[in-house]
Amino acid sequence: MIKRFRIREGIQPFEHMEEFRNALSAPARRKVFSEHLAPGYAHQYDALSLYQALRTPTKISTVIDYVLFTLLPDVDPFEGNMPEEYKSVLYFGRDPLTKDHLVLLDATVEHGDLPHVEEYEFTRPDGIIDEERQRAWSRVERSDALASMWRIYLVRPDSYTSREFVFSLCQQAAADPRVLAPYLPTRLTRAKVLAQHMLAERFLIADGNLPQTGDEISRISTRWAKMEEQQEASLGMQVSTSHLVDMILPLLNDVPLTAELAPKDLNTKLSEHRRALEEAATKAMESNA
Amino acid sequence: MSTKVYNGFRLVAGADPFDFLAHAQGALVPLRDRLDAQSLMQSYAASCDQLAFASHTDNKPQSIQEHARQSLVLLGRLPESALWLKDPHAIAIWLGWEPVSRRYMGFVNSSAQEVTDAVWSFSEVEQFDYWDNADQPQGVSKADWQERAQAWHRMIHPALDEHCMHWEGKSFNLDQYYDDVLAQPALLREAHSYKARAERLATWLLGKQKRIADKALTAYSHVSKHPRRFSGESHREWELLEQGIIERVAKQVQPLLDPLPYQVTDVFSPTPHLRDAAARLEALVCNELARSAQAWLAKREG
Repeated sequence: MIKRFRIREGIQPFEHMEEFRNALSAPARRKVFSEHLAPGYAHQYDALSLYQALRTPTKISTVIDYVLFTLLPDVDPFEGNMPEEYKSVLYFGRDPLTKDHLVLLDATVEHGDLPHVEEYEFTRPDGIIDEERQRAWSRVERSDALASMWRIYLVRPDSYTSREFVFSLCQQAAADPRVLAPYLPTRLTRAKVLAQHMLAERFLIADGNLPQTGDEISRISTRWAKMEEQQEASLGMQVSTSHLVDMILPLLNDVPLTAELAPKDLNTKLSEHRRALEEAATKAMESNA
Repeated sequence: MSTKVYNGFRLVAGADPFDFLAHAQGALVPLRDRLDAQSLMQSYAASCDQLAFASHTDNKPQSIQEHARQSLVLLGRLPESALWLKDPHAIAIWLGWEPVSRRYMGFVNSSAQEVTDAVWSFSEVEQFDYWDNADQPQGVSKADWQERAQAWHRMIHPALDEHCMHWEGKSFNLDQYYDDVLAQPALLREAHSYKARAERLATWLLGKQKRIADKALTAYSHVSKHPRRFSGESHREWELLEQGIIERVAKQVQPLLDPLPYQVTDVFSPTPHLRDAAARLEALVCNELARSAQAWLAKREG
């Protein structure tokens, strides 16, 4: 997504760096919280409750492992690259003729309003080219495209600072888990994810890979989101999870957003019905095997 | 944690960051291309000259273009963690507004000192480097050094990213490395020097002969097996002796070197001059090594 703007007269972009960076980071922050951290944490909580696997108090920082695993799936989190879907760059140039400052936003994440700018596209909504604006942009970008512009990267695929950005979000969530509250999935979504997790676990057990420890259970649950599509494809899994979801739904309670979880915080209703849920999951798997 | 901004600079009061960028781009991109051309021609010439001298079976005649391609393959084998270092002449400039001093300050990110020197030479730029892990340099007053310390402290806390924009002189991506210079034969020709080639070939020859001499020459073997005597002043003396060997051999090598093609697709075809002289040059280096080692030992051992 490319969007073009002009900075309002009298505004020097370097003096408003913090506002521009915040405008870039807010949507990426929402995306990381809503797509990774909050659902990841909720599912961790439900899976741990189901198995009552929590023997010692655990910090919400386990979520950090989760987000790094899912966000940076194929690489070492300390060395790897950010996915392209988080790309988010602002380019600043100055028109040598009019001295206007022009801004180009190149981002995959949907952005809200940038501060101190007005829209300055050269293609109008009706498809007509605004030649004056087009000339202004060609003077700024010149023949070497974006090489003549200053830039702010929030996230770029090969950047260490991009990973730092994700780490900082994880640390925010670990320090005050309540920031995740607006992004927690609905009970129905949680029930569906837990049902899929149980089915995946039944497949693993049928394959002779019985999880033994709390760590293993946790690992399965965190990997499930990634494996889901591959499992469905490779195992021909066409199982309807609706019955299982119906059983899980009334058992769910609110996810506690506390900095540390203790065994007493776990949802005992889920564990009390664990055998019945596992039987339902096994039946669902066998009926579709 | 120490602060080290070796390539720091500051714009003079009233300077515009966009004028500075236009200036930097105009000056640094051609400089980067020249550095690329120099390193490409250095490694290409070394490859051609070693082929002409020794006819390595695994070192076939090749074009500049093919040599550049193979060099990129080799560079690409570096570990992923060194990704941004893959292009040795990548250039970036970071710049931010420092509201207390009301000045723009930043630093150059480049492994080539020529790039930083070029930026420091701009009329709108003041050198503003700073470090706190060693003494301040001569010529900078205590008050100035303190001002730099405070300004950089404000700039890099809590995070440099929050205060700076940056500009990249393209070739952070290895795929683009060499592209611009391969299209500029004049730049390649300018980067070529018979004298430098001869010195590199002589250096290579010396290294090769030292490995042989380590076993075959009594005096040199004695020198290389006594590292404690071979340190400090003694080591510097030995380096001077080696430099003398290189210079004498290079004088003999230079007239034998073949011209290199500058059209990127032309293949280098060596004439037999160097190959014919190989045995004589190797013997020359060997004799020089023996003589130097004897002289060096005689001086050390009275």
